[in-house]
Amino acid sequence: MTNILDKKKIAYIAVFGGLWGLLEISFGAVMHALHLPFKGIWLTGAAVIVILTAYSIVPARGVPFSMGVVVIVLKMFSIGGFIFSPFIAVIFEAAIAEIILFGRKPSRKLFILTGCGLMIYTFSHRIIWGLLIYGRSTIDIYEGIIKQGVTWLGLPEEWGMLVIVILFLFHLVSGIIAGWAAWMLSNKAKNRLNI
Amino acid sequence: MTNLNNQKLNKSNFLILILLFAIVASPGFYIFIPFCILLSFIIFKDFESLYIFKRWKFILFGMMFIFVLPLVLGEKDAALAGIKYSSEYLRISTLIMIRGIGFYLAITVFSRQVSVALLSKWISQSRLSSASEAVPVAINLLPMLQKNAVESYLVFKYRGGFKRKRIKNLLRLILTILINTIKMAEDITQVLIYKEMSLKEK
Repeated sequence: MTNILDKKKIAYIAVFGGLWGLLEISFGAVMHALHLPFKGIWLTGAAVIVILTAYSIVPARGVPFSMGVVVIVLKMFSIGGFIFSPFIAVIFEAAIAEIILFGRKPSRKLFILTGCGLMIYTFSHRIIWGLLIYGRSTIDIYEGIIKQGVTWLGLPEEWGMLVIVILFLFHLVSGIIAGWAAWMLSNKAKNRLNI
Repeated sequence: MTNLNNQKLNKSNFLILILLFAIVASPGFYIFIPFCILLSFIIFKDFESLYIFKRWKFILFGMMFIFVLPLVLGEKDAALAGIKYSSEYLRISTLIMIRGIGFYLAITVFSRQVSVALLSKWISQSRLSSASEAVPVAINLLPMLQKNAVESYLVFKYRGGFKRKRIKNLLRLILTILINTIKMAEDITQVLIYKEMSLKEK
């Protein structure tokens, strides 16, 4: 029985990891090339649905993180080569999903929590990536940009923080929607296939 | 068939990894030490990795980042030829650019020297044994996954699915793709179980 579960786990990691990788390679590359705004929200939303659908059928430890490893390998050897920012985003998203899910029984609350966790990471990705690659000076640059932008617009300094709070809330709501959609879609798919 | 036992890191790979960590960890202007060592290594060993410096867009971006940022941000406490700039932001932008270029060059050189076989060996030796078995399956399945997704989209499109009730039909499209993916995963599960049973019988 354990062997059958192991094989099922490998199959779902391969297939759903491949689907996530396909979305990252195709849509991710196009969105990055076109410099579309809020591309992280779309890609993370798709990742939330794929990860949580696989997890709803195989709720085992290691599934989300292994899917992330599959995506990284696929992206590394795809056309476009090695781009570090999506690499970090994928591995962190997979790790956060793994920590939140960690073999727990699937439920609507858990899925929404996972969606929120991944979207909050997407919101802070630029800062984390900047800290990792460019060091603490990145924070000074971002602070300078916010202060300068607010000064040019003739607004009070507190409004700079307000924009950040609004963006954070926008990502949080997107996470709730993505998690809820993943729960609804995975249950409908399982009902159709009698799993 | 590649012999995975022969796949291992050589001395130059280790040097690149050490320089990479040194670049990330170096504070302030100490970053120039590992950066210069890395640049010397690349010039002698892997000159083609410097291809990014042939792109005018990258050079333009670098120049703008280093020279325009101090003119726009921060307190203008210095001047050159009558043009006021922020010395603090000039230092910050230079360090960020050096750190970013050093990191990028180290990763480029390292990824050019690492093969799929070596990567597979590392993954299989880590605790992620499921991932190591799943990676080759995923690589082989990519064309089928793409075909399923594209065919599902075209069926929806030609039936007029995106002319009315777009959100509802988009969710239906996603559901269709997920159902097809689950069916594929169940088929792969049966294949893997049958393969193991056949090997045991032998």
